[in-house]
Amino acid sequence: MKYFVLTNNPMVKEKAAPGTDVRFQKGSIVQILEAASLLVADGHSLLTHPLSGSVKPGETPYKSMLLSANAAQEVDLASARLVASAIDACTKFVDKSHTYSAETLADLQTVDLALIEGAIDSAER
Amino acid sequence: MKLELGKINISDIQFGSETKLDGGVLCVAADQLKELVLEDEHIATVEFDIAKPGESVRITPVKDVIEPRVKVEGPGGIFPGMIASVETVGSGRTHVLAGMAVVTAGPIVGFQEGIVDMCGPGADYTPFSKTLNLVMVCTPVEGIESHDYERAVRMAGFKVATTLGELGRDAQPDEVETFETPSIKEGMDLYPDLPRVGYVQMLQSQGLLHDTYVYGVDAKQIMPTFLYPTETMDGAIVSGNCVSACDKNPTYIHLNNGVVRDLYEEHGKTINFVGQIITNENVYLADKERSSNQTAKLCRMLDLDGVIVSQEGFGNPDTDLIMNCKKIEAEGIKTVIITDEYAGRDGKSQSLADADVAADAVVTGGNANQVVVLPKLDKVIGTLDYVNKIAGASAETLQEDGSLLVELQVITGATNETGFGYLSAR
Amino acid sequence: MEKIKVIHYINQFFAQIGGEEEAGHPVEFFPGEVKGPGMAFNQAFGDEAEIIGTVVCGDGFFNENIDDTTEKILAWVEEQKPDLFIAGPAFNAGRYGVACGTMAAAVQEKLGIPAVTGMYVENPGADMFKDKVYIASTKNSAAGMRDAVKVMAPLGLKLARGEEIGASCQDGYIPQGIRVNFFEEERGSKRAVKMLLAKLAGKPYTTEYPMPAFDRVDPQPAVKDMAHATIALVTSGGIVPKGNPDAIESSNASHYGEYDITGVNDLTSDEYETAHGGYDPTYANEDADRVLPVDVLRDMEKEGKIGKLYDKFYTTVGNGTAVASAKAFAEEIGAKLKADGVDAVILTST
Repeated sequence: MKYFVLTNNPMVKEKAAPGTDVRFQKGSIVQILEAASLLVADGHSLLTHPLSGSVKPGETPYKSMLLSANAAQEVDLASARLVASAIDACTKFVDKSHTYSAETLADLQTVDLALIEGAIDSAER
Repeated sequence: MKLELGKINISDIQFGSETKLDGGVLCVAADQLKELVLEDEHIATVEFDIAKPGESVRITPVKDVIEPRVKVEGPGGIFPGMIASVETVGSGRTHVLAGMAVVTAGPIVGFQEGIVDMCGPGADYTPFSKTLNLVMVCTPVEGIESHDYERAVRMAGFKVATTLGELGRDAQPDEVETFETPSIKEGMDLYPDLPRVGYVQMLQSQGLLHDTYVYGVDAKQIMPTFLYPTETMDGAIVSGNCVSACDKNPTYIHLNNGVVRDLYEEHGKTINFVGQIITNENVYLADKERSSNQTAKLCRMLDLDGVIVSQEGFGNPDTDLIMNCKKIEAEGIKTVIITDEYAGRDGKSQSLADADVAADAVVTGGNANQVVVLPKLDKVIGTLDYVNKIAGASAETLQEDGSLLVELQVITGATNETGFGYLSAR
Repeated sequence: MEKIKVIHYINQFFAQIGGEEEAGHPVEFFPGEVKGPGMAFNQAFGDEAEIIGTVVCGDGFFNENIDDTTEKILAWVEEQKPDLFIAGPAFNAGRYGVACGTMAAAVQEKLGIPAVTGMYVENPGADMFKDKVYIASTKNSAAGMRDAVKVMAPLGLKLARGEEIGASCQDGYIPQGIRVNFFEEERGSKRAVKMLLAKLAGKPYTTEYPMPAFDRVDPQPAVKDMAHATIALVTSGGIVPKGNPDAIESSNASHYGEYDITGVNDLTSDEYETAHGGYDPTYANEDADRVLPVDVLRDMEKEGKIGKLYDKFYTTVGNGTAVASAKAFAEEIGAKLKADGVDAVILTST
């Protein structure tokens, strides 16, 4: 499955294997989910769960997702539903990511990177 | 497969010059255990402490909770693939140091979660306020990767627990329970008229700090498979999961899985408890499809009439839970699912990230967003340095009077999704 | 300790004035009197509380004079300074339920006096007010009076004393859409096993988390050729010909209207208005096209962007209307549109 990575995690941009199509975009989790939802509306489908990781939205400011490189004619409804409910879920949590130290942010980036690397492994298989 | 579980009730834990079991009293020579832990070059320091039920003690950040056990008879050893060889476990005899736990604590990452209060309102929410806890607070050597350090602390906990478990080898158990699962054909002959029931356990497997191991294999890599439930009583499943304290399954809970226990209770009376299917909760959507397809297939192959599905974690696993439920129900098999809820601090939001009408029998571990005030306690084992950063905390968490204003999320085991606790919601 | 003082609200039927023929009975206050189900409440209260007056109102009268009647009752209640207001129980009586819910919510909100009512879960009043006041869950007829009082009396006393209210299953009220935690007697795994045994045996069981029931409709394929398509307009925004000829109710609508718009290019304020009671009607009455865009669709028809605007529109009021009624309307409307060869429908709400 041809894919690209949509992320707001600078470590993913930096450390992704050469040749990986990484589309980095600055912004909050909600903003990156909204960007994903626009891509889904354009026919791309989600390949990973938008609520990946048990580190809750608000707790981590980072989110990486795999989307299909190919944009279909029809919107993938399952993807649309997943991303919409993920945006909804974000409103349930208190955002405190701005209070973190650089070390904590690095830890959170590492976790997000590890999760998306696991997904890339699956996609490459 | 038949397992005898001999419980040695531990009545107290004390520090002493020798590590030994004296009646029900566990004596711990801290220096000896320290040496064992520090064999791993990734761990810089370790401090041991004891926390007893009712004491004004707060343990945080908690990583894992482990019950000491030892294999007395039968093949293999406790924690196969981790501590012991990969011999299949679950038969013969195992001794348990009951009423106590080894608790690994200390920072793994900068947002390390998990609070266990030994008294006060917080104690009501965690099952580990009722155990005598030997706490080991570890710190990492400098410059270590979080992957490596997580593994080091995980293994240190297992090493200490098995060392202590070994003390129970020759002790006389206070109580012996027997659990037996016949082979498929024997079971059909024995209980031709009883409904065939299985347990589908979903294991956290999203990646770093979200891992579970089965006989040493990362659950992310497994295809759904079938276990004798007694295998889990010998530590076939262990936790490498450091996030979502309220609804992750510490190793203690894998060893004492409530669904396994309560299904055995009915086994041969009202049901034929056929066995346990384990599956995973991967991030990649095609993995989810494959795993839920295979899970439903196994349920069908085993000719199950009913299953209980338990979940682990928040968000992403909701999708696996609903997929499993839908596909198993579609096979004509009755399901009950166990989950917990994130309904917001006001309880008004949508509880789960996914839903389906097939999920018409749900047991809930409660709303993890509910706010509780945990009063200041006399002693902290570990550190409060992380408490403002952990899930379910916020900038106002540490109050002026020293109390903590937090969501239930921060409390280890508060909304457990294997139904280990009593909390619920309506 | 002083007794908790209670004012009780009931309708003409429970005050033994009469049935439907007396629904127009105007509102009355009887200070010091206990009527109908009030007796049962007083008995259940024992020494803890007593009813100090009863308000009686015909269900029709209340619903036709909601604002005035509410004001009047609030004034009486304020004067009596009770510690608790009890309305009903209304069981499955729709208008009585709306009256009980309206009064209980008003007393609680405007006067700060705790209030409780009781209804059958399918009473339209339950849906309208369950998130505003505690509504005890009752049976669907007055035969359930004893059980209703058994739940409402202790719930009311708890409220009057300012005690913490438990989860809905503990204190017997209709869930308010708010998840409340509590400790069960048995652990979750045991509850799961019991639930599974019941499910396997085909016996009743209660899920601890009812899944939100989304009535999902898969989208139809896109209309390929809009230039030749017949488009219909359907609304729950209550747009009707002036005077509301079919008397569509301003809330809890019991029917829908079908109106011909052949030759109508614009919904003017002389000809059209809204019957909807749930939003400020000013802008809809000024220009009903704001809710039902006949003008724009006529333009598109002229420009050839759509083939044709269907020559009738269908309308009802969504305000508090039961989902079951809305579904029934939609099935009929859908069948008619299909039979007339309509290709697509624009549904507007408010």
